[in-house]
Amino acid sequence: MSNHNAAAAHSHGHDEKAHGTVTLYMIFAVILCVITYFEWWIFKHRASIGISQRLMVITLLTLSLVKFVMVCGWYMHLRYDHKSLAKLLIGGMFLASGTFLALGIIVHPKECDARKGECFKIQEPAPAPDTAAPADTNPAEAAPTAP
Amino acid sequence: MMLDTHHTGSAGAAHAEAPEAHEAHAHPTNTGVDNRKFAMWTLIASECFLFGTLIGNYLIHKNRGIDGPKPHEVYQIDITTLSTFDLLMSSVAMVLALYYCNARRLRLFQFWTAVVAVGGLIFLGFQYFEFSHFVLKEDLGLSRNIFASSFYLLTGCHGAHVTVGVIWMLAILTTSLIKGEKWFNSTMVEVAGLYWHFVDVVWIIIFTVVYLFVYV
Repeated sequence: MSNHNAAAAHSHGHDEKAHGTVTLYMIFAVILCVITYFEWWIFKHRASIGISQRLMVITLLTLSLVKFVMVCGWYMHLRYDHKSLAKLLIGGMFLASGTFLALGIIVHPKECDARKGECFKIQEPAPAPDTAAPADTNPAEAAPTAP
Repeated sequence: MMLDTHHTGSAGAAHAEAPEAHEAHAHPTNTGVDNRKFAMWTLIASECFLFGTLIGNYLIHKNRGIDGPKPHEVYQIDITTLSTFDLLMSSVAMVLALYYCNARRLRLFQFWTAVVAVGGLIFLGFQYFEFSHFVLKEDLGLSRNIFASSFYLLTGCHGAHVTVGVIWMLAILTTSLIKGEKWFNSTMVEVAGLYWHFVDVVWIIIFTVVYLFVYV
């Protein structure tokens, strides 16, 4: 077993020339730049090209995922490396997604829709002390009376 | 289960002539992966958990600020895009540094490692500019509202990771400058590279989810 593992460690750890070439890395760099530029372009011209918000979200998430896979797969050599490392990353991402969802469910109550600004109404701050009526004054008495 | 077993036979003997350069081969493991590399991937997995939570926290709170400016009023997407380019290019420099480390090309390795460190420093400069703009021009301090708190927590945590990465790169560069060709530690450079690429990957997600989804 130790010989097998030694060979595995050798092949997975240091056979870098089999992973990629400078040309490949540079091509990937150009692709990453183009994708980032495209993301910025979509954001900047979203109104003029008339893209819906849902389509924009899907497009940007897809482009982001492509960049993620390119960096993890080739630059981090996950594509060529031991499968257990990919499982570690996927496990971490899975846990992160679970926490993300749980956080959304726990912290984001149904009655609070942040996009409509209802949260702001719920958490409206108290008026400043100089404009508020004194604590010992009855508000009914303080109000001006009709002639 | 023990992860380490002492090397015996061919695996150790084959690389006995250059123990420092091939020190990763001296400890065959049950996983088939160098322990340092495995540890880094474990750290990366746990960091996914950390950043997933921080991003979730930001998304929940970004529109809940009662006082102060809203995200779409303060973000400077053009500048953030430039910093994203910078971090992506530093990732390319990192993979080239590892490539030339494996190829035993000392000067090129040192050059690209320096490029990585400079790229990280430029990114931190962008972040300093952004934060100072928010605080001084937009009056958006850490405790101004919950959007600011969650934003600074997320991007500040990422910036701290970049800072650690820059220090690591400078340490590797300094060591290689002092020791010269006697020091070619591919595994150490690869582990540092994994960390740096992960920091880049996290920023890819932050750039999209935090900055480009500002109106979502």
